[in-house]
Amino acid sequence: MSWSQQQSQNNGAIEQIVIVGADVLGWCAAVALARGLQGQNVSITVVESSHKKSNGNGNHGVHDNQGIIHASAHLFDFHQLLGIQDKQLLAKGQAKLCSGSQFFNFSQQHNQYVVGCEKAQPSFCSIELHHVLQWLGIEDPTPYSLSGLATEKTLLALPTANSDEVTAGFSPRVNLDAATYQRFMQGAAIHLGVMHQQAAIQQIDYHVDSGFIQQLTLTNGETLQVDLLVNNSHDEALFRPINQQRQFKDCRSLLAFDRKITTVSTTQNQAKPYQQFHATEHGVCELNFMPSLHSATLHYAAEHTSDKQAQQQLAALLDHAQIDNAQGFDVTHVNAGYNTNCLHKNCFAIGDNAGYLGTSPFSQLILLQRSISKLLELFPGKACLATNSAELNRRINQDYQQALHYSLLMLNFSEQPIQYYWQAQIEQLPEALQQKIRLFRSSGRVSSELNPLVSRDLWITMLKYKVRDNRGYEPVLDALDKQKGLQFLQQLKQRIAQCLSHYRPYQ
Amino acid sequence: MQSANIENIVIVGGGTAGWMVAAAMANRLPQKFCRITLIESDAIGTVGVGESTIPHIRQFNETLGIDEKTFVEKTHATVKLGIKFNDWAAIGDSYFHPFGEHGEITQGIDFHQYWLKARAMGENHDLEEYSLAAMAAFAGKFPLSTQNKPTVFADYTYSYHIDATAYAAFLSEYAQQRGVKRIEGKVVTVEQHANDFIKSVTLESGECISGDLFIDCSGFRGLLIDKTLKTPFLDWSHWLPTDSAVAVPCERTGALKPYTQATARVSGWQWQIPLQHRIGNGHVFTSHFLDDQQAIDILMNSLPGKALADPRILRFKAGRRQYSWQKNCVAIGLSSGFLEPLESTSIYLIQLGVSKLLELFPDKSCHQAEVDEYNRSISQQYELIRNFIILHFHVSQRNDSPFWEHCRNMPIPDELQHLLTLFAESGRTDIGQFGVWPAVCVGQGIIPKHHDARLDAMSNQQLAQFMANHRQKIQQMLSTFPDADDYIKEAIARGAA
Repeated sequence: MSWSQQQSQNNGAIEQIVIVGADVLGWCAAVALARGLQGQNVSITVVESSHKKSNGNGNHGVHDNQGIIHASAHLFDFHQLLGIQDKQLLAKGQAKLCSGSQFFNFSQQHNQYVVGCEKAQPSFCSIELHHVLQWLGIEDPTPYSLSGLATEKTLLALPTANSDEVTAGFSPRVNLDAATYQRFMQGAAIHLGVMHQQAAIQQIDYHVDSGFIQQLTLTNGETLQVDLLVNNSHDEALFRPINQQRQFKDCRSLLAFDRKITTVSTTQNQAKPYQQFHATEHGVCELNFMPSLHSATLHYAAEHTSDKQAQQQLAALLDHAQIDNAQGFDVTHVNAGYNTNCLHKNCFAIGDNAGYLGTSPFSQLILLQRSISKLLELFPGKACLATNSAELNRRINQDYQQALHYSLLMLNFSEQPIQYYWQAQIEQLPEALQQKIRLFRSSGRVSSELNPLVSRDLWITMLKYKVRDNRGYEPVLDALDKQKGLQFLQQLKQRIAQCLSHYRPYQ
Repeated sequence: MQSANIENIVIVGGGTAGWMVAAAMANRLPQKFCRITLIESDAIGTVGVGESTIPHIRQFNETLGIDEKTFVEKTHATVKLGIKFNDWAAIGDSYFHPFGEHGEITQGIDFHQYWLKARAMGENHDLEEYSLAAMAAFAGKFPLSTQNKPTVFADYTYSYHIDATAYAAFLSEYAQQRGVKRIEGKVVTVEQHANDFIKSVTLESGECISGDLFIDCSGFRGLLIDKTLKTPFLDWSHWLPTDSAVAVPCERTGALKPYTQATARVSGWQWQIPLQHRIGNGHVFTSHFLDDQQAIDILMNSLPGKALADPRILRFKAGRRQYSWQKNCVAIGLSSGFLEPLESTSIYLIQLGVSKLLELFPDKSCHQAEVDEYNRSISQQYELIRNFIILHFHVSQRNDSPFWEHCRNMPIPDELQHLLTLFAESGRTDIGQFGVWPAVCVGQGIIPKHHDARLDAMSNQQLAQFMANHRQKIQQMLSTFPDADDYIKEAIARGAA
């Protein structure tokens, strides 16, 4: 069909948005849409049924509204768009900055390493630090990472607002208390005029010709007209007629974990400025630490590990980490993959309905926030025009693909002989990720992309720990004086030590 | 450990591409790191492409430490605020493709969406009336500074019209001052290693010049990338059917127009590029539909001043090398590919080629990972520009010749079809694309069927006020700008002082 043969459709402004699923993701979506559509005569309703809720990490189970959400620095950008003051959240202890991740037993060669959260690389003669380290034969980058060292020393690392490449060169992530954050978002949504219905959905009416969702009837007798439905429901059967029409990108061959077991612990222990990942024979365990609340999740595959073994493994790790008072164990079945058409007809899938990619700094919360931003960029009219929807889905898919690739690199990729069933060698990874690893290995380089989910610096930070046998660096360095290079590193170390001496203990 | 570093770089071919590459490399690579040799033959002419440029050239100059005053003086440059397209949508129509977006993004909604709604309610101001660049261009003015400008024009920028031959000469001097060795001579044979890497080139004089990395700037001949390495050429002439151009400079008359003009003709289009001392003219056409003499006649009969030389015919084929980098040879400039000059991208593609090469600068092994990344990145840019150029031809409503019939009805790349439909449907664009899509699409008569529905909440009165404010701001700013001619004269005067 040529461009001039577009059919005429009624594409009036969307007036009725219904968000089904009132967990932290549902309320976040509500706030973002209410802010993004402010002054535009749109009514937004959040429907809260009695089904299980998500805690923002793709978890949903007995620990409804408990748990910790670990989020990348994208969260602050999102808050800025919404006019949310991060200081308020941080001051009340509802959010805790997190300057790094600790990895245990992921490499036979290096038992433990810390990955900071650099967003810019200090440079020597305009050449980035990691090239300089490689040039000078220095294998361990940790002493040159301010955020990494602050993490190791349990200090509160706060970036400065200036342009200094050391003191301002990192972006802390954040741990959120899921329950408090949800209350915060719900309050913000209600303040913005979002309506709240606490009732289950009794009936969904579809438009006969278009198949669009037209109306919801609730168990309390209310009916809701729908122009756009945001599907955050955990009742799979509810929207099956429309979900069956979505295309699912199955990632199970890449991410083997189809179960996770989670527990939270109310504890007297303090928060910590890092999250931890432990590689075990049964899978990957993730630990997050908030004041008086620690959470632990083991991601595993039922084919290799029984639920009982998983529970034993998680209990052993909790014991090792001296975390007690675990509040029971919750097993969840998961399918790694994502929908390639999150917006289908007038139904926009978010959260687990959009996809699930295991654990990474790009939690469901971050993916949701980016997806809603993209939805607002390409906000549809009532007709949800097909090409607009296709473009929106294309942009969202790019994020999911990057999140998948980063997660695979961070947790699954191993250069050494495979130790655990869930590890992958380079040839098992998607081609684009293979190319990224090969390029870094060859010359320490990472290509740039436009508006990526995973920034170039984040890739570098992770690649320099994961690709241990990279042999290349900027060739131009060979024309420079190595003594001066060493002096640069010495000065950098001193500068970092100076900064660290000013940081307060994390508590 | 990486393998041995490149010690000798050999650039085959001078011209704009050769000397831009040489200058950028001499600036970036210390002399003790490697030697750079450029071979050029006075007997082989240069195409002298790219008199009209896009804003990226300013970044290139800045990287090389070339200030604007020197640049303007040495290259006889004038400022450029965009391109005025005449007779493209239909004979008698015109539109302006500015550098930078129109108006201001308000409440997260692109400005052209407001314009679409205003148009739907009966307002008849053209989209370009909301572009500072377009309005300054039509008034012959030059916005003095892009610093401290109001938000509404944050995206505004500018470029230059230059004498490309003079630019090459200037960069030649620049590069040689920084250690680049120029050798006059014609390459007659190319020697290769057993692994097909290029080992050396031998000149007519018998001199043999060996190297570790070869840059093919030999233009359409593709002496290394094509003749030696047999790299396939991806032919895009089914999408871009023009294959010839006739060029002639003429005297400049009247005040400077700070923009390029591209006027659609019966079987192609004609450019007009004002420099300080002359106007560059050319007629791009399709030999299948028009013979050379007809093309020459069309050009010579529409020159804005007295011709300063005889018309010169050029032949080309649209497309690109499947791999711009093969083995230890990187093709930059016309040897890498050709896209007709409608959007002034020739120099940009050279700049992109050398910048990317320096970003991925190899050692002697030329690891495949760098080669793959370079080729991926270059081909992506070629395709973005290609699609944008095809757009101009395909959406024309002209039906006055077989050429335009062909362009309107030809199949187009899928990605372009998607973007075109996206715009035609709802005025949406992808910021990752090349060029200002709303300017070209609306200019060519594609008025999206739907504006952003969120604007339905804005009353007609509010919108009318909003649009009027934009126009008023632009008019207020225009009155403070100097004439484009005066800006150039002042720049040269400051340079001389």
